[in-house]
Amino acid sequence: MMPLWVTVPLIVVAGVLVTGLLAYVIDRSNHA
Amino acid sequence: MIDFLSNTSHIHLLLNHVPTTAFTVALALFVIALFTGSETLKKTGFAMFFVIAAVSIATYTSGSAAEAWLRGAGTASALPAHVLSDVIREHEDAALWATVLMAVTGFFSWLALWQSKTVRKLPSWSVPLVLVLALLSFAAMSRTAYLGGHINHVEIRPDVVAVHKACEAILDEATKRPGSIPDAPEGCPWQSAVDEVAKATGTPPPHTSTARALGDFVIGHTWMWPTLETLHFVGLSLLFTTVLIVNLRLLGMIKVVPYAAVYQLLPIGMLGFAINLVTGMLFFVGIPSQYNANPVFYWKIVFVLLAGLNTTYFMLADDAWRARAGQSAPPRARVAAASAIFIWLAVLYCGHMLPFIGNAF
Repeated sequence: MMPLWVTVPLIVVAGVLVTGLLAYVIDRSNHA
Repeated sequence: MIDFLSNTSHIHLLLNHVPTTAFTVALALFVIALFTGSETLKKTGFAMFFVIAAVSIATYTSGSAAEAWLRGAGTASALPAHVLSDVIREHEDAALWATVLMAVTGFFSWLALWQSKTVRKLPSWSVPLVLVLALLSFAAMSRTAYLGGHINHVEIRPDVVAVHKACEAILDEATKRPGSIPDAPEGCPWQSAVDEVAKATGTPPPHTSTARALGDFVIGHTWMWPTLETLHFVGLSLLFTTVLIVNLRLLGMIKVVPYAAVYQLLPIGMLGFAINLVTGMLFFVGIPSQYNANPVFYWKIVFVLLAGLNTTYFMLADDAWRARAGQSAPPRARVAAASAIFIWLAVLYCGHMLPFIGNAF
């Protein structure tokens, strides 16, 4: 079991990256 | 009126017609739009899907509150005799999936509306995707409504109806030929059928509820709540920053930037809202009792609904687009912008005050 201070930032960063990727894809699709 | 509004069962019974009946109308309009090629009707369909998705959030949360209302308060709280807990759990599970599908439909409908203002032609996948999602949502919501009806209407529950019909057949036979059936019943009240079904099934194993399993997962892992809180804060930051930039521009700040430019940022705000919807729903299924008897949570949901309507204005009206570089926005767009900032601040305030004015934590 990973310590809390590792688990929380890891998942938060993953969530932010997924959101960023979606924002990028939406922006690209708008300029296609 | 206050009595009516504080009765959460009333609210749920009112709201549950929106994702079912209103959604059927929206779906019909959307299909007609596809056949006739009417752009206005298509946009109406998208907008209705989006607004109904927002109302679905309130419908889901009010359902949990309706259950709490039905059980009553205190340690001796219990469901009425004809209501089985398992029937509620089955309805809740169906509602969870239906609400998720509806939210995804709402997101892509909003995206299509947003894009229809910026591109000449929507991407080829946009309309088919929304249509498939809407059909899936319709099926899931119809099933949810069907199961929801079973909670208080014993006369439509298949197991109860079967027992009731069997009783009526015996009663009919005994009436036709008196004395032919010695222990014939004198009547067939529905409660007898409910009792018989309950007796026949004995104590059923607890229904494996997805919603409850999800809730247990949220509260059963120490990393879940802080992770969700942090993500909720990230979502809030994305959402509120976008709200401020777009609406402050309409109110007269950074006039050098045309509205068309800040409009491009809206999906970032919507993605922020999506993060908060997912994390918020997980908080809710984690500990529903923190929210379903919390007046501040009610207000939060009311403001989320108003925010949905406010967003629809920007998707449909063209007023704001008159704010080109260096130009002011027309008065109606400014009123919409000011109300957007106020509404989102109210959502933030209610969310933050859940434990302080309300009873969360």
